[in-house]
Amino acid sequence: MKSRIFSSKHLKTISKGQIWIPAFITLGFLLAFPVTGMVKLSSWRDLQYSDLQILILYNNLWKDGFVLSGLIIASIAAFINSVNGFIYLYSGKKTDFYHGLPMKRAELFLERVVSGLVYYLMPYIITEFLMICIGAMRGFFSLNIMGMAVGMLFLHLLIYLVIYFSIVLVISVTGNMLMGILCLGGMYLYGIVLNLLLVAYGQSFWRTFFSEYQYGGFNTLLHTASPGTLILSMVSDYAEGKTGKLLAAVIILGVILGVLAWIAYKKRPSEAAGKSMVYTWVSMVVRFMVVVPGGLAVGWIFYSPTTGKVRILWWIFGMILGTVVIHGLLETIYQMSFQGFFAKKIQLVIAGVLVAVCALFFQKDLLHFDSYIPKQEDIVSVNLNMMSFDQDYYENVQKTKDGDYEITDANNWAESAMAFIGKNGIGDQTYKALQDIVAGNPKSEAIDGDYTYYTSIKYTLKSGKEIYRKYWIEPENLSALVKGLYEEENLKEQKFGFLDLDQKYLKNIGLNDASGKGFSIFQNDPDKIKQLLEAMKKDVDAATAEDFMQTPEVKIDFAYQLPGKQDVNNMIPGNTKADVQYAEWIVGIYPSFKNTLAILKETGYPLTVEDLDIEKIMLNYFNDEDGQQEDVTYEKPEEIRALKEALTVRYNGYVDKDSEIYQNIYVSVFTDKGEAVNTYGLKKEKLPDFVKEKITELGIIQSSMQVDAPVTKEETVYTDDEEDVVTQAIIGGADAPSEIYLDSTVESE
Amino acid sequence: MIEIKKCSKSFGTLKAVSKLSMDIGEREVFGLVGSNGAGKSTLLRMAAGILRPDEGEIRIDDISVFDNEDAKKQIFYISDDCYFPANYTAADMASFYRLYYPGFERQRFSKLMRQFQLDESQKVSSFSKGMKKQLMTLIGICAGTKYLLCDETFDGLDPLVRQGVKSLFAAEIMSREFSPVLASHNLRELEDICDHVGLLYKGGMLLSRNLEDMKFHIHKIQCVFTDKKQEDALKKELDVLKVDHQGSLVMITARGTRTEIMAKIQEKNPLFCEVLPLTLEEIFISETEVAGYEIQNIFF
Repeated sequence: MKSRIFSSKHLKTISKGQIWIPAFITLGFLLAFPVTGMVKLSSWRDLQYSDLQILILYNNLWKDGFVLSGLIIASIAAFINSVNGFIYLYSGKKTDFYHGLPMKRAELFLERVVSGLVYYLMPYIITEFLMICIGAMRGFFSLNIMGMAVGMLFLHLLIYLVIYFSIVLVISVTGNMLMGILCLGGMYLYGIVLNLLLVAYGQSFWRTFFSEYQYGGFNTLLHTASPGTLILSMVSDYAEGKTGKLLAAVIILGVILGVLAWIAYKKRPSEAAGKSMVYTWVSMVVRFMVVVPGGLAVGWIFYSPTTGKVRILWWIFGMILGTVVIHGLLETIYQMSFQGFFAKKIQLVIAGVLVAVCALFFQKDLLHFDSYIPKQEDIVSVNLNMMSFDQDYYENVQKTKDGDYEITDANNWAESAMAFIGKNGIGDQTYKALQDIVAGNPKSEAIDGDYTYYTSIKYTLKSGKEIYRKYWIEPENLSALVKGLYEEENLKEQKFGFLDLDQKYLKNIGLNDASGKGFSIFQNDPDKIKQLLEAMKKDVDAATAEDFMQTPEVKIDFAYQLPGKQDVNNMIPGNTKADVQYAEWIVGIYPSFKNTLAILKETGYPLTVEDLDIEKIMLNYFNDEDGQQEDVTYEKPEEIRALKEALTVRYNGYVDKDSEIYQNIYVSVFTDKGEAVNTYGLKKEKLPDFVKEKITELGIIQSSMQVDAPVTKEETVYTDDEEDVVTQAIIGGADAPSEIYLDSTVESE
Repeated sequence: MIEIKKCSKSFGTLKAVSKLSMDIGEREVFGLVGSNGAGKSTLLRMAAGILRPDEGEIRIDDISVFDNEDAKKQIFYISDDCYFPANYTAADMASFYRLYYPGFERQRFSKLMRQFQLDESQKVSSFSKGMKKQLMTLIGICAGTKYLLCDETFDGLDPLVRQGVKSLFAAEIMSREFSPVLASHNLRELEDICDHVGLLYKGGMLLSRNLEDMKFHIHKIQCVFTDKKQEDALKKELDVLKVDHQGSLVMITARGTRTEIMAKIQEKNPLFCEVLPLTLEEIFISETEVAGYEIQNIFF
């Protein structure tokens, strides 16, 4: 029998009237491979990429571009073949025709699968080979490319089979087109929709829920709970050259779907054609899978736009309404009659109870989500998003085996390279600070003035599990946490790790003076740079956690160029020096960094507020109570002198003691070079009398809360590129400072 | 032989076939009659291995038929409403079935198509309902299977073609092991071709008999007696199924051979006597009335 199925005569005969399928698939793969390939090769030539760059791009095309375009066509082919092969099950007449043939069901199943595979594989192999030939004619041929072509063939075949069997499974368990479409949609979208629902509930009911990073069950739902998302995740990993786990998961999924499809097909009664669902137990499972989240979703729709205590009532109303309506609609579809709307009342009640239980889990936080903190001994590391309170910018650089560098920047705070880790896990002080933060997190929706900072934390456990939370943090707890990170964890190494890099990679040093303006310093003076780096290393090594809790005197920007592979996503056409990557550090120079400050003084730039040549200071007084504000400019030398006494630069949030700075005055400082970029504040205990008088006059009451979000990060952009830096006159030293500051942005949130 | 053993089949709450047992012999034309919804099609679909019985078993030559290739090779099933793949010609259909039935006689198919004046190269979708039935019947005959299960096959065939098909069946039975099973609700269609008839009613087998045997053992007598006592005596001696009067004419439907019945009537010395054969329809009406079923519920 098998030989009959696999014989060309058999295939030719049963393919009568089906030739459009391989023809259509051939057209698709022609577009996916040869046409895409030729378009790309042609555009790369036009963009004047070098031969080496084109080779890199062409190689990448076999891992990325062709994989994606082929994925689309393979998916369409799987859909067409599976529907063509098994849609007969929805018709009683066709079912009688095929099931009346002297053939076992299993063989009939195999016949359909094999014919579909032939319709898919023949066009694939021909067009892929054609693309290899086209590439070879343009001079791009190697065993590596052949290997990638074979790998891609198997990858697409796997994708084809997963999609194919998923559709066959859906057809085999449903009896008509409407249910088939709904179930197929459910299979591919259920995980994503459920994830959205859970995220919406998490955000609504759990104050520490962090939705930006999907992890644990949420991540599983989003990326692996549907064949579609799992395939996309695998393809994404494949493009990055790391398919291992996801490839295995897709293979397992393909096997599971294949076996389930085969069983469902084999056991499917022929008389099931036209019914909604073939298997009663499947219909019951689907009912609860749809009705329970549906009830919760409708409840949330009513909960979300409402406020106050009444929103709970709206929420309950929405859940009841959603449960009843969705149950009714589903039963109507099952029975293909509106008379079924109020049928199966017991199942409706059970679904209602399940909805209520789920709702309680969120509303009463029965899982203790908000108060959860992993045990200290279980925590391997902690990642902290410091962007909201730390103006420093740092990157993690790791040297790879082939001599290149892998760079992870502070924006990717949750990456494992950016993890804070102590010698023996997380230290007591850090853990205590974390406990205080968790315990001190607000218990209600209202946030009072004590919660100034808002951040996200990732705990990585020994089990490999990752847990994300977001917290409102009181300044004292924040200071304790940062101090713990300096003292017990590797925050110091993270921030100043660049000092271990070879000096030859350092391309520019920028100094932000006391006014916040940036200057390139010690250009073409490697000895001075060496002195600075050595002094800094010495100061950093000697510095204690307490030292880092002080307000930095100035900030220095270190720009490095490190060896790296050309990034195909950011390749500059014709750039022969494209195999470099850039890394940047912006760190504070603290009062305890005596050696460093001594060298920086040689530049002549003002390093402290005292050094600034201030022409005028403008204070913006604002009253929280009535919203009134008034600008007052002080230009008299005595006024400026008095204000200078109180003036302080506001850098990192954790050293910004709210109690020390008067909150209801915005300060603008003007020097002979214009308005200073830095953010300044006035120390309360040193407020000049004329300022106090003005406060009294305006009736300002010290607000308990910082009105605006804290300063996040000041980013100084040096727009001069490497060549410009090299060709500029030497700056600093005894010469008058040559200002190259061009732009500065201050982000606030 | 097709053995049906205590077969039941339900569709939801509807019991289509209920604990049905019967045998279909070899080299005979089996007529399966019954009203609409009696379970004829369900029984045939089970016999063809399409439907799995909820209870019981159907065996073809002692092999269970469901999902069994060897058993199904002995059967060709022609449904009431056949499916033809899109764009298939009659020749394509023959080629298709040839893949699955090794004994398919391709040349004979062409010959029969010509005899029935059907164009092999014509698309089946352009065939009339009757032509499609003819085509499937010819394919079924050429498939070379031992059993041919036809569901309402003669419905839609013109009398000439119907006669041709009947002749073809007869020729096949003479030439090889061939046993057609014809399901119909039209008793007259089956009367002149069936050797054996089974009557289905509400999923159960009301009776299953050889047609000639049935006709040989049941007769209608029309007679006139001079004395009412003679009539009463005769009724006691005969196995009477039904008695009707039209004036002095007495019409008795009774079981027994013509010779037996005539002998008993002659003893009563009637003024007039005539023994008539019953049509299949009359036999079933009589039998079903005896069984206690209201005729109007079965036939209409």
